[in-house]
Amino acid sequence: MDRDWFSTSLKASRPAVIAALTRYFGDVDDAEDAFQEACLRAAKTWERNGPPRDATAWLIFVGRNAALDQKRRQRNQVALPDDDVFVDDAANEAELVERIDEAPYRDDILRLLFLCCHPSLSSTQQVVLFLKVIAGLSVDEIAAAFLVRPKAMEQRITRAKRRIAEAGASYELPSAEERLERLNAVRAAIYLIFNEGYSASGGDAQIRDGLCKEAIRLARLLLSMIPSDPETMGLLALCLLQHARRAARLDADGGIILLADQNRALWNRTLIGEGQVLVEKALRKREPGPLQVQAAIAAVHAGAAADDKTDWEEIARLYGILAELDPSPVVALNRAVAVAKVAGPARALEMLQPLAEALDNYLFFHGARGALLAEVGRREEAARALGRALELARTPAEAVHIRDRLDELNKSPSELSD
Amino acid sequence: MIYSVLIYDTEESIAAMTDEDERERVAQHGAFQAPLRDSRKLGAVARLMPISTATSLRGDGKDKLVTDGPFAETKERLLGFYLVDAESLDEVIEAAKALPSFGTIEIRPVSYFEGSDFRHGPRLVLDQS
Repeated sequence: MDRDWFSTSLKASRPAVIAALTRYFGDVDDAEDAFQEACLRAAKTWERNGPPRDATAWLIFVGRNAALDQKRRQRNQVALPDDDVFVDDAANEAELVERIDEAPYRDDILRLLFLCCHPSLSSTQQVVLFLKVIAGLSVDEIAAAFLVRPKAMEQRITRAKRRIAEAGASYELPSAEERLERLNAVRAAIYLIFNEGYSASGGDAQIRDGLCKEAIRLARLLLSMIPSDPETMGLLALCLLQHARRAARLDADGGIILLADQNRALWNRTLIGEGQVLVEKALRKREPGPLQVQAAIAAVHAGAAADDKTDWEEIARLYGILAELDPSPVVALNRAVAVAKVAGPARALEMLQPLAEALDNYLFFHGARGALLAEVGRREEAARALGRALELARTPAEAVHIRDRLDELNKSPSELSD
Repeated sequence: MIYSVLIYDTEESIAAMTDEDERERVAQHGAFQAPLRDSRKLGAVARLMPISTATSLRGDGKDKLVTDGPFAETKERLLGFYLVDAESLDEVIEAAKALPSFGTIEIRPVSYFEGSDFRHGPRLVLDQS
């Protein structure tokens, strides 16, 4: 049997299998154990008999029976679920697999996603549970991604699971109103995972790349559950469009290359194409949300053959919409940067004025302000702003980038000085 | 005869593939395409985007309902297809053995349809990149 096929198949089936087993046992730990056992049995049985027609249904069936067997052997006092699925012979198996096959996994998976986003959990806990329970990353892998020791991560996961149990979280689908809120939390958690991988704050590049891919897989999973939801289309599109630039984002030393300076030939056109189609589909529904608008902005950038071909007017317009949907100083900053390209630096500097206090500790505020001040010839102020940015630099690459800007400032003609 | 070679698999499996799996699969597609292209038997090559990007039109007349999907409860999706101009079904079967074998490969002859000119029309080959 093809090893790649085997591991890919287990990985692909995991969310549906864990979700169904969690419903059955009412406990995520039991479900994970049962899944583990089913995978061990799959390794033996599939080798001998060939892979089943439906790996997911097979794993649910075998995982459930294996766990029930074990419970019986332990003479556990826990009342066994009242179900007629108890036989192990192959003839019945085919029929039962057929039956499970027809059962929809959709609600189970949604329940599991909502459970991992229970309001009693912090967003970090939600993220960690997503990676562990749904994506199936090992504790070691998650620990490496978050730069903590495996033991500490293990404890974090245990605490998160206990928190769900203590909160009496039920495995029911929440009410319509609460569902909307939880759905927002699910999308936010997935986007957090993506950003954890995308932001270059240290760590192994391959692990970070893996996090981005898991986030994309989770976004795909969520969208397949609620295929007409425009904001989830936006989430997937946003992840795809950003991930498409990964080969162009870092230089040989791991420093960040800004969008304007990236080699666009390195962008992944397949991912961009899918992202653009999803943005187009989502926006047709006329229910704009923050993720859709951010994805639309990313799509405009992706559609520009070169930085100076960017449709800044459209980007400024989209940031205007985003500022209404999800107002924040950072959005206002980005809007000002886009406006600078359309209406000039003076207008943008006016827009930055009210943000000074809120973004005083934000590197990109001072960086952008410094660049705009330099453009209008206010060199001393520009130097002060860049100096402040330099203080806030977190990585050597960022510091180098800002020093380059400062050097340019010192080299430019002095008659512009105020 | 023009044959379509239709490739089906679950989208979850595609999403779960590692980069290495992916490279391996692309190489296998290359091995399928090369001899057919050399003998000028390879027609359209299309990799379809995931079903979440699809749109359906239903209904009669001009007031067609535009919906997302289709999202039938089937697990295997049509992921892509080839058009191959071959002498026989056997020839296509032999050629298709080079393709990755995760899902299902369906070979279905293509019949003439108003406007189609597979033999004399320009050969449409889409670059995957």
